[in-house]
Amino acid sequence: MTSRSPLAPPITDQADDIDRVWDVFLYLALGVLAFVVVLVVYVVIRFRRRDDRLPQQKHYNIPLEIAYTVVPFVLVVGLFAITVVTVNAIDDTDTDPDLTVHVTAFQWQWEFEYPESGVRIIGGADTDAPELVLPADSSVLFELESLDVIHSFWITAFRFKRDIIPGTVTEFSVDMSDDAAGEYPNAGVCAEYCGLDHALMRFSVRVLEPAEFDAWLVEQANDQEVAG
Amino acid sequence: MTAVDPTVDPDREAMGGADPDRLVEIDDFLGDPDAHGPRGLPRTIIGWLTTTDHKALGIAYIVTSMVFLGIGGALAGVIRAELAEPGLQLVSVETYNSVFTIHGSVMVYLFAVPFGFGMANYLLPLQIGAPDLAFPRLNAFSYWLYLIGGAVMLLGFVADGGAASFGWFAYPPLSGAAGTPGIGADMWIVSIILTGTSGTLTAVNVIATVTMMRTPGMTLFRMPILTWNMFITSFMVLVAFPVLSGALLMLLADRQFGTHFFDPVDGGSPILWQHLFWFFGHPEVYIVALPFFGVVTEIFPVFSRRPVFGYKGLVLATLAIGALSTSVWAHHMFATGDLVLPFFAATSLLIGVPTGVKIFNWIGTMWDGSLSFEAPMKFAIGFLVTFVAGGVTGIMLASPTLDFHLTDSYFVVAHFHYVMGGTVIFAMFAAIYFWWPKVTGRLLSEKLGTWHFWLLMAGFNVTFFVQHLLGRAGMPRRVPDYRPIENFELWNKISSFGFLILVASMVPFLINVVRSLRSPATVGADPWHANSLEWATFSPPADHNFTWLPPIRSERPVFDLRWINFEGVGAPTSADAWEARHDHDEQWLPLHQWSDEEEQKRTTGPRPIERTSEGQSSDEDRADGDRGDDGEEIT
Ligand code: HEM
Ligand SMILES: [Cu+2]
Ligand SMILES: [Cu+2]
Repeated sequence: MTSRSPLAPPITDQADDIDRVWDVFLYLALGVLAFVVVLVVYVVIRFRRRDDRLPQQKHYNIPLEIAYTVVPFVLVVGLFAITVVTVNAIDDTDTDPDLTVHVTAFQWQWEFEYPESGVRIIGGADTDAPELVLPADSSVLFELESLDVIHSFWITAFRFKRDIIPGTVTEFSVDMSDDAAGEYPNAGVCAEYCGLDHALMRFSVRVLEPAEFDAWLVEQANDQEVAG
Repeated sequence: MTAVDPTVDPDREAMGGADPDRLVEIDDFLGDPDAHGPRGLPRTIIGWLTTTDHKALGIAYIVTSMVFLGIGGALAGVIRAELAEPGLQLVSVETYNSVFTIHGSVMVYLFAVPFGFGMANYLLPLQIGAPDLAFPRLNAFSYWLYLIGGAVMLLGFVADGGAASFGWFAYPPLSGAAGTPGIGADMWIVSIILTGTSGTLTAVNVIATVTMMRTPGMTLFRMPILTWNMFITSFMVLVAFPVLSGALLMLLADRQFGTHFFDPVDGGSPILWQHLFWFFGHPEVYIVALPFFGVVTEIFPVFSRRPVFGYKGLVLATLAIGALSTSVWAHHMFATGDLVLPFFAATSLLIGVPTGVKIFNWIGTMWDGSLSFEAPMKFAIGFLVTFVAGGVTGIMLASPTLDFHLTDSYFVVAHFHYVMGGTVIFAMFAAIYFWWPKVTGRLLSEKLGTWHFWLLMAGFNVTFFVQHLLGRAGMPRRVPDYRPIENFELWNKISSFGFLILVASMVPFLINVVRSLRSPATVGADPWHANSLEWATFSPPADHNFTWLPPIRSERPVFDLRWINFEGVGAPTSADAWEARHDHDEQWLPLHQWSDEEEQKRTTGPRPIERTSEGQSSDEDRADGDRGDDGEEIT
């Protein structure tokens, strides 16, 4: 992706994997599309009507038919293999993460809680996007909970989203890349349509170096103790 | 079409037996079109209200669904206008949410599926040589149910609180009484139960017609692919629609009668709805698409002057799609994480294989052909290219690895508009241009058709291509507003501009239609030199369709008649009737084609069974249970 793209760069190890799979699928898709388009253009030019003769009428070619069934099948099996390997890695929830974040979604805002330190960040009634702060180079477990309808927790820089279904707590974990530190304004989006102000349910992501993150967490804990 | 003067390849084998010196016009067989009583559509309002004629109802379906296309298109215009700039300009958020919900619902439930049923109505009896569908009154009932259902959905806009606004798949709890109060939402539910019931009844009708009413000689494997696809689609409808209707009734009960099927607060399950809905929803995609696959499979052979390439493979691929499509539903739910991901990834990727097979069947049909590019052929090729573009992004979405990022973004919006636009837009116009002379007895202008095609091609791609980029870059679907980033603004502007081109593309089409309707109806039975039986009757067809039928010895009876001189074979007789019934009784799937040996057997075999006026068989040897195939004579 070029730097002009509005898409945030990948900031987790999983996102790096996903982007690699994306490349494979994308080039294959473009290849297939180009192949078919070229074939169609060729057929259209080569076999256009030149005279009124009736062309040959053979209507099957078993080896060819087998070939064009088997080749796509083999391609699909390959894509499936890639998918299974990566999806198992992505979907593997880390039971002993460096950090747990408890996310609560509600119409139409977010709350991020760090249970180990009791820190909470709540989006305001104003449309200000709340900020989710994460440490680089650590594993993070997200626990997702909804107070009303279905939402979906999508961080574009993760290349991943997970639906938040009322009545259950869904979870997933990521390994933040060691070079993830930076600001990712509006990289967080509610992806499942959730009613009136669904469009405004965004948040920003800021990734700090682990030491800075610890300091930030202590500072927040103190602030909130003073406030509350 | 110019007259054909064939100086043909002498190799008769490769010609499938076609005789280069024989070219007959169907019109020579048919004689005077007006010697058989009135033709065409009802001329009075009472006539329309009371008709049970499959042709009239077919046109009613098609015209009604085109009106819904216009309404859905206008709503799409509201969407694109609002999104041309970030921030809110045109409509309120509430209205926007209703607009995209009703746009999607109108397009899927009231336009795409019913248009297919309209074609099934008009063409299917003609293609199998039948006088009507099996149950004409049921058919009329289906149509009126559909019309009423459609009206109920649109009336939601004037209801208290506005039309439904929970998206076309209505996820609870948002679609529950607390999430979306207001009668508009209930009207949406009722509307879809009505149209769904209408669809189910039509499916029953189609299945009965295909099983019972094929003309003598029309074995299953001689049916045109369009009829095959309608047949398979109807089975899918029977599997999918009742599930949707049931789920909608549950949702209605949750909203109105205090049940808690989908309400998590009282132990209901929102995920259950998603399973039920998508168990309908994915087959639905193929229910929409298969009839249009059928359309282009009729068109490619005619304008290539070749038989369908790999006919049986094509039918098997369609059956495979039908079967697989019932086991892929949860690919719409990957992001819930609450699934066996590899299973649904596997089935979803796998369904790409039979779909790919079809693409090559179509190209194989054109290969070595003699291609001419009248409007139907242009649109059919437009379909092919557009559909492949939608297919390859479908493969991407079938991989949960990628779907996690792409789902519920504009990438998905782009994907399904390529798939749907390819089928229900390009192939639909292909169908209109192709069968227009049959239905109206008039031609459409090729010149205006060319303008229409290229404007549509341009408009379609300008509108939807950039949406892939938007989605991948992080724009979620169902938002009236988006981040004011340079690329988002630019891409959305391009997309909205594309909509203007789409609107422009309708101008030559409408002019074409109006002009044609005002010209005299002079077209003969078979203006394209086509293949299937609907071209063996007048344009428009006679009352009860046929005054004469050619012998049916392959899937191209009209082609055969034009080119092949069958020694001593005439129009179907009672011997053929016996043969067809024999096929039907002996085999649950009559897989064979008639060969010459069987031809012998047929003429020297046992005496054919005569039908009495009650439609009862006089043959005592046959098991009683087999009697059903006589059905009612509908004349
Ligand atoms: C006339 C050209 C069309 C345009 C410009 C158009 C545009 C759009 C746009 C921009 C959306 C996204 C709305 C949003 O997420 O906020 C949308 C949604 C949708 N469109 Fe279209 N569309 C067109 C035709 C069609 C057709 C022919 C079909 C199907 C047969 C269709 C089916 C849908 C569906 C199912 C949705 C999803 C609605 C939802 O999210 O609930 N559209 N359309
Ligand atoms: Cu939302
Ligand atoms: Cu699907």
